[in-house]
Amino acid sequence: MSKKPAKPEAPLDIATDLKQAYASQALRGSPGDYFQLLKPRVMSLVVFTALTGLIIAGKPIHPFLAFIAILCIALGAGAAGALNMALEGETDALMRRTKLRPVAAGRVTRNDALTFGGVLAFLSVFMMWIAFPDGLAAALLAMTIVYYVVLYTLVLKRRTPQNIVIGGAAGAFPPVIGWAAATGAAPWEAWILFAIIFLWTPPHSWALALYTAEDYAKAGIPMMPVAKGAKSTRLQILLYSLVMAPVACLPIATGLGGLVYGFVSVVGGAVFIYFALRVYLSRAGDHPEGGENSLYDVKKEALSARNLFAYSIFYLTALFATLLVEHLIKGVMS
Amino acid sequence: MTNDNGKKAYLAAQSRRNYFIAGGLLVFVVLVFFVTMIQMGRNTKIEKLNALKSQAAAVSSAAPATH
Repeated sequence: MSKKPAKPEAPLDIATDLKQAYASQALRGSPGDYFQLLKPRVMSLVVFTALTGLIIAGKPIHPFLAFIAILCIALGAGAAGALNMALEGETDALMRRTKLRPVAAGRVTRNDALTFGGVLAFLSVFMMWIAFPDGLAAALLAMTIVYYVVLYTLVLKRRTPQNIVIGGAAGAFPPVIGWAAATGAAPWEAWILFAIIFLWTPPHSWALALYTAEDYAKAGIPMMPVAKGAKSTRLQILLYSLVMAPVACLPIATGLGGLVYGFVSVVGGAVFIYFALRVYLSRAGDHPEGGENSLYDVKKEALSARNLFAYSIFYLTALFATLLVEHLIKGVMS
Repeated sequence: MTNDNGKKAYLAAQSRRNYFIAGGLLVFVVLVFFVTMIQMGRNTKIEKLNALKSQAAAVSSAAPATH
């Protein structure tokens, strides 16, 4: 029996592909969508802590170069956020908290987000290197981006409940980068600022996770309440808070922080521990909501977790704002 | 949406994106320019300072020792 000749492959129908492309909403990501890729709320915290590190380093810096440093750090953080969203698009689509993100919702394609993040990352590191030729700030910025995208997003996030502990270091680097931009060095005073944010990140993130655990479970992310249970999470929140509060007082011992900072860190830390203790003694997370408005409409038993989450943001802002203001006042008076 | 309307919307979106990219590149070039000017100014000052220091060192070594 003779074989039938193979049908020739149909030529590429560009007209049909283009028709589909024209109709596709994914090709019409607006500037606002691309801005959302940068995770502006995270970027604002990064900018603030980096600015604090840059100013309290104490070395005079040309104002334009200071602006460039903060811009590069902001863009680098934004790039990391965009790459994270690009790589996590499918996971984000499963979670109520993140399903409206540009890639998850299909407004920006994965490849576009990857390209956008990649180009932004390169430009921010390159500009940082040009502005600060010693290279330390640029190297730290590049390392932070790689750390967040590769280590946290690709490796740790789906593999271990310690994901936020190790990966949270990415959010702690900005003050060190700001300090390195100002002085060309990263002394141990800068790493104290790193340590404060590093130890703050787990109780902050787990407080949120306690009442949105259902969302994480659906997406298969082993956040602490999902992997180890609410009780273990509440204990770890308390333990991290007990370690973080004294570390946050270290700037007093080094002279980086003055009397006002001493007051804010001691009282603020005590309040933080109080909120953490309330979470520990509560049943927060035992029946996680994960609802549409779970950030604002939590069950009564999870209120303590919500309060700790909200207070943690205020606490970190107050610490760094006090350091900044004290330093600026000292500069004006001298 | 007809194909023509879709094509127009697509090209309009692409054009907007291209303008944003061009604007972004222009901003980048301008920033690099200003950073370069500042660094050149700094390097010039450092060179002048080093030249003065070496002149001062030369003068002090040429001065006769007094007893």
